Amino acid sequence: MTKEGLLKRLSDCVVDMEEDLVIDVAKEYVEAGFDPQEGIMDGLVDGMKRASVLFDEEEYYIPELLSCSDAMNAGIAELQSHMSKAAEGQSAGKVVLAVVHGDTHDIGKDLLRIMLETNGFTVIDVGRDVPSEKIVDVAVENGADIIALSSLMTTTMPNMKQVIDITIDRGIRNDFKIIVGGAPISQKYADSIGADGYSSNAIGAVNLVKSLLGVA
Amino acid sequence: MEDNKIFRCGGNEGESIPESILENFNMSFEEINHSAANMAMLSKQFKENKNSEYCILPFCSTVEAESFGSKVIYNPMLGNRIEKYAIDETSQVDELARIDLSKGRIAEVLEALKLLKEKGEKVTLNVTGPISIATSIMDSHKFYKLIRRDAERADKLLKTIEDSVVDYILEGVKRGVDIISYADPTGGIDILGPRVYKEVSGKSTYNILKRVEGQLDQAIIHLCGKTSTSLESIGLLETERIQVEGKNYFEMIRNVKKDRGDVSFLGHWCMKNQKKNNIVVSCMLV
Repeated sequence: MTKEGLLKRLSDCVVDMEEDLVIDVAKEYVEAGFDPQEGIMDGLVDGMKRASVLFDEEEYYIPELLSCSDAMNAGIAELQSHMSKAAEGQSAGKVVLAVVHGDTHDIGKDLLRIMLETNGFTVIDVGRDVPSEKIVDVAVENGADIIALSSLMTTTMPNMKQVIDITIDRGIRNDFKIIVGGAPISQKYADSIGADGYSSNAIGAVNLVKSLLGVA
Repeated sequence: MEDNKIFRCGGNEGESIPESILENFNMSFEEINHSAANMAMLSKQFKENKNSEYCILPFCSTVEAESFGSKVIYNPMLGNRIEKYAIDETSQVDELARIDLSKGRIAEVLEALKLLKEKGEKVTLNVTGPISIATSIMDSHKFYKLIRRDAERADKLLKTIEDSVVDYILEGVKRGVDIISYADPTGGIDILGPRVYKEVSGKSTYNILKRVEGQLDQAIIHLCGKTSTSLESIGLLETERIQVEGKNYFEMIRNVKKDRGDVSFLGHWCMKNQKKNNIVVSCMLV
């Protein structure tokens, strides 16, 4: 099969949520001597972008998008196993992502993770119900550019401010851009706690991250 | 999907119980949650503090998941939440047993309900729907994968949950509950999409409601607006708007039950919202 044909199959595997088949296609692609990095960007990530369009058009919903993401990640793992570290490609930026302490609602966070990865960002997903100290620790350890915080409950919103305050107390506030989101959050609230940005949805959050990091 | 017809939820709010009330109890919030007498007392005091007419039980939406084996963190300010899922591997679904209502916190909730009714209180029992329970006993990502890749096992899981929820509702009815407030926030059509909603979530909620319909005695089930509008959108529910007297939504619910014995389910509204008109929406299962 031609390179274009295999790239199209990699892309289709992601759109069709073929988590097992994508590994076989990735192997076939590498065995044919084609560039793994190109396979990731023009095959797997292309498929995830198509899936994101289907999500926007309400053809796909959360369950489908998560399954597409599984397929993409399975394919990436296979292709990366054939790449040197240096060839793994440039990240557009590093984002630490978490649902704040006390809150277990992680659908929005998962959605943002997928959208950020699709757009070339490295995402360190710390999970849900994460203590504020831990979020900051992970951001420091990984040299993150952005800390993205999510909360779905008014009762846990103050923990977003707590994260910001910890970075101020440690004298590292300017090391990160901190953005917030979630159903009860607003631009006004984001401003009031000293966050660097707010978005009401995942796609807006990706654009926000791009703009804060000056990525085209 | 006709998204504009799906009820807009104002947020997934847990109500904080004021510290001033909790100080009256010489025990932790977790201990209160495991004692029927204290739960009843707290519910009554919380009702009085809010100047409400109805006692509400339980104080969170984790009771069912805890009864299936998930581990809960108790916190009166942030709300109780799941710390560890009962199921790590999907194969464990096969071992999941129907909830034993005579054991653990769920038994205390039912006993607290009985105690409150014996004291002449009006009581609302919050009941969580199947998808929200499923995603509280296993990671939501794993659950979504299960319904896509192993429909048989997903059906088995949901059947066990449905059986348990039906038991729970009927035990509440036996103890004289006034309102069952039923919500499945994670199972909405806006999250799952029309296909998964129709094949999985809507079907499961419909099964539960169909099984308890006709056995509600003096109780009425209030469906979260998102749940009722989602069911209507896939044709499993029809509605009737009913004009009713009442100073607030709870009084309207009470009056409609009094005036119209045939009404089993109400919906298209949120029990936390104020009503600006005197119309309630009766929901009839198709």
